[in-house]
Amino acid sequence: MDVAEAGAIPATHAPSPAPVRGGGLLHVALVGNPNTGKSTLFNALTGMRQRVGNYSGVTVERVEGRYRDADGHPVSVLDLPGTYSLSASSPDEEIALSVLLGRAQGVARPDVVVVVADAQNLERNLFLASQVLELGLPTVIALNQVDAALAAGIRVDAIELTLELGAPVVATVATKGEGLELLKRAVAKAVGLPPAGRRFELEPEAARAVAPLEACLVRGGLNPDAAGMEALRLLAVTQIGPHLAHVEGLAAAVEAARAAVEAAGITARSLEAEARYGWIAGVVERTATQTHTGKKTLTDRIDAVALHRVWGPLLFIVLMALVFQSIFSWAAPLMDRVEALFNALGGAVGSILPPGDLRSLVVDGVIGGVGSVLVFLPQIVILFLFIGILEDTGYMARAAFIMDRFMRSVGLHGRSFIPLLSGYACAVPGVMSTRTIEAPKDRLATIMVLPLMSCSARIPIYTLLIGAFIPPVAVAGIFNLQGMTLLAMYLLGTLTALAMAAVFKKTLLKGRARPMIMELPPYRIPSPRSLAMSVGHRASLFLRRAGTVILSLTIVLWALATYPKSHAAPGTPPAAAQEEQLAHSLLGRMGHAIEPAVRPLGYDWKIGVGIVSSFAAREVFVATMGTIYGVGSADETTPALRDRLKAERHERTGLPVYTPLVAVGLMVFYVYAMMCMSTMAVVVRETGGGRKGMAWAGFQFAYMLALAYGAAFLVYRGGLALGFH
Amino acid sequence: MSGEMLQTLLVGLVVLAALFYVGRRAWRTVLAGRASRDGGGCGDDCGCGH
Repeated sequence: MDVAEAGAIPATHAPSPAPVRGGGLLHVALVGNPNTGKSTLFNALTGMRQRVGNYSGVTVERVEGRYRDADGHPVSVLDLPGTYSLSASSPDEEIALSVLLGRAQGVARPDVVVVVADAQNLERNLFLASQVLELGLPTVIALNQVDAALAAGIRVDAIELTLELGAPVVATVATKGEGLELLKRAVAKAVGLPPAGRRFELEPEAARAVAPLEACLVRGGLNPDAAGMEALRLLAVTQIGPHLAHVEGLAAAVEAARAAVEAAGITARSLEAEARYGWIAGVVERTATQTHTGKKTLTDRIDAVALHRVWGPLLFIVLMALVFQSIFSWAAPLMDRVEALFNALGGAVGSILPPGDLRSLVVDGVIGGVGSVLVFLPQIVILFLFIGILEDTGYMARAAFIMDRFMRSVGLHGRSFIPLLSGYACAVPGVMSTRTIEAPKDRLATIMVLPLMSCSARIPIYTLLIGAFIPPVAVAGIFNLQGMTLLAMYLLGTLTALAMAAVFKKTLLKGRARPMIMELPPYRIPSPRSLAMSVGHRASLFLRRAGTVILSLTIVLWALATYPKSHAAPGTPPAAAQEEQLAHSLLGRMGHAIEPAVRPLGYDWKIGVGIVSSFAAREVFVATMGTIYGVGSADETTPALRDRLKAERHERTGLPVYTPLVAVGLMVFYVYAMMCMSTMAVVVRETGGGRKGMAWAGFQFAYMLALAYGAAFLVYRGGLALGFH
Repeated sequence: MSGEMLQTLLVGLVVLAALFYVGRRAWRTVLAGRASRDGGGCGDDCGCGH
C-alpha cells in the first residue's frame, strides 16, 4: 500500500501550524500496544538502535532519542513500554501513565503524544488511543504496519479515522521508513492544537454517578479531560496507583462512585470497557474494510504445525538442537582463525619486547587472558544471529505459547517466559523485563530463577570445556555430541529454573498460576538490517566487556600471579621454576588456601582461583585460566588454552587435572552459580532496593551457590562411583 | 634509569590503573543497585546493553 494513499493527512485535514513551541526542545512520547512496531518507529525517527523484536514486551523502560524536524527544530522522543491500556496494573504500565500525566520524576510532560496503532488490530489498539485522547495532550496517531494490513485484506481510511478521532492519523511502515516525514510534520503541527478529548458519551445515569469522582480528581490537580479518563479507569482497577496517591479522599470517592454506578444497574468494573468498545466498534465499521476473510493465511498454515500439541514442542526442540550444533560446526573454523591471530600477535609482541615483567604482562596477561575470551566471539555472533532470526520471524512468540503450558504447571505466569528468554542473552535486561508481570509474587519468583538461564557470558566457559573434552562424534546421524552437550547445559538451566520456580511458588511465594493472554504476531521475513543491528550490538557489548572489565581483571590477576617473585635454585628446569613462581605468588597462596573447598569437586587450586575471580563476571574464569597457564608456562609459543588444559597434571599424582567428568562437573557448576555482580545489583533494585533488595539478592546468591556446589559434587562423585573419569 | 626499572614502573602504573578501574566499576555497580527503578540497567559498561 502506498503510504500517502493509506493515510497521509491531506491538506484539508492537516492542522494549522503551531504558533508556539517555547523556542526549545519539543517533547514527544511514543505509546502503543506491545508489538505494534513502536520501537522500530522510534529507531527510524531517531536513528538509534533500541532493541526491537516480533513479540510483545521488548521495551520495559522509557528510552529517549532525538531528531530534527523539517525546520531544524530539535525534537526529543521518549519510547514508553508497550501497554494495552492505561490501567497501570503492572510496573511498566505505571511508567507509561506517570509520564503521560507529567508525574514521572525528572521527565517533562510530553508536548505531543504519538500513539502507535497496528492497522491490523485497529479495534484493540483504539482502546489505548481513546484513553490517551482524553489526557488533554495534543495527540497524533501513527497507523503502523499498513502494508501488512493490506496484505491481510484490511484497508483503513486514515482520513475518515482522523475525523472520527479528532486527531491526525498518519499511515506508516516503520520497517521501511515510509510515512516518517509526514509523521514528523504532523507532530510539529500538533503542538498547541486543542486536545481531542472524549469521543463518546456515557449513559446519563453512569455520567451522573461518576461526576463526583471526576470532581475529586480535578480538586487533586488533574485537568478535567484526564479526570474523566482516570475516573472510568478507577472503577475497573483494584489499586489506585502511586501517581494518584496525593489526591485526598480518592479511595472513598471511588467506592461511592462504584456504588452509585451499580445502583444504576450498570456493572462498575466493565463500564469503561463497554463504553469504549461500543464506540470503537462504530469507528472501525466506518473507517476499515476487510476485503477478504476466511482464507487461511501462511501464518495460519505454519501455526498448524508450530503450535500443534505434539509437533509444536518437537519442532521447538529440533530447532534448538540445530542452533546449538551450528554454534560448534560453523564457529570452529572462525575460532581457529581468531586463535591463530592472537598467537601471532603474542609471538610478535614477545619478539619486540625484551624479556621481563612488561613482556609477561602483555603476552601472558593481556593477550593470553583477554585473547582466550575473545576467541569465542564467533560463537556469540552465531548464537545471537539465530536468536535474532527466531525473534524477528515471530517464532519466539510461538515458543512462549508452547512454554506457557509448562510455565503454568510450575505456577508461573505465562508472561514470565519473555523475561526468562531474555535471560539467555543477559540476566540484567531479563530481570528488568519482569516489570511486565503484574502479580508481585510471580514477578519475584521469576527474578529469583532468571539467572539460572544460561546467559551469553557462560558460552566461553561451555565452549572451552566442550571443545577440549567432549569428542565431536555424531549423534542420530545429523547432530554431534558437542552441540548436544551445549544444548543439555541450556536445558539443564531452563528445567532447573522451572523446578525452582515451582518450589518458590509452593513455599515462599505461594499463589496460583494466572493464564497468559499473548498476541501471536504474523510471521515475517526478518529484516537483514535489524538482524545485523542486533548481532552487531551484542558483538560490540562482548568486545567492550572484554576490553574493559575482563582486561582490567586480567591485569590484576596477572599481578597477583607474578608477585612476589620467587628465586629458583640454579639449575632448576624452566618449567619447574615457572610452576614454583606461580605457587609462590599471591594468587598461588590464595588458591592453595581455597583448594580444600573445591577439592571435593575434583578441582585443583587453579580452577578454584578461576571460580573465585569469576564472581565479578563469568567469562573471567576463561581469562583467569589463560593468564595462569600463560604465567605458569615456560613455553615461548602460546598453544591454545584448551591444549594447555588437556596437558595439565596434578602436582602430586601426575594424573590429568581435567577429565571429561571434571569438565562436565565444572559446566554444571557454572549453569547454577550466580557469578555476576551486575545481575546482583539489578536484583537488589528490582526487588525493592535497600535492605529488602539486598536480602533477596543475598538469598538468591546463596541458594544458587549451594545448588551449584551440590550439583557439581553429585556429578563428580556420582560419575566416579559409576566408573567414569 | 635502567631498562628493568622502567619496565617495573610501567607495569606498576598499568596494574594501578586496572585496580582503579575495577574498584570504580564495583562502586558504580553498588550505586546502580541503590538507584530508583526508573534508572538504567546495571550501570556504565556492565556489558548487558543497559
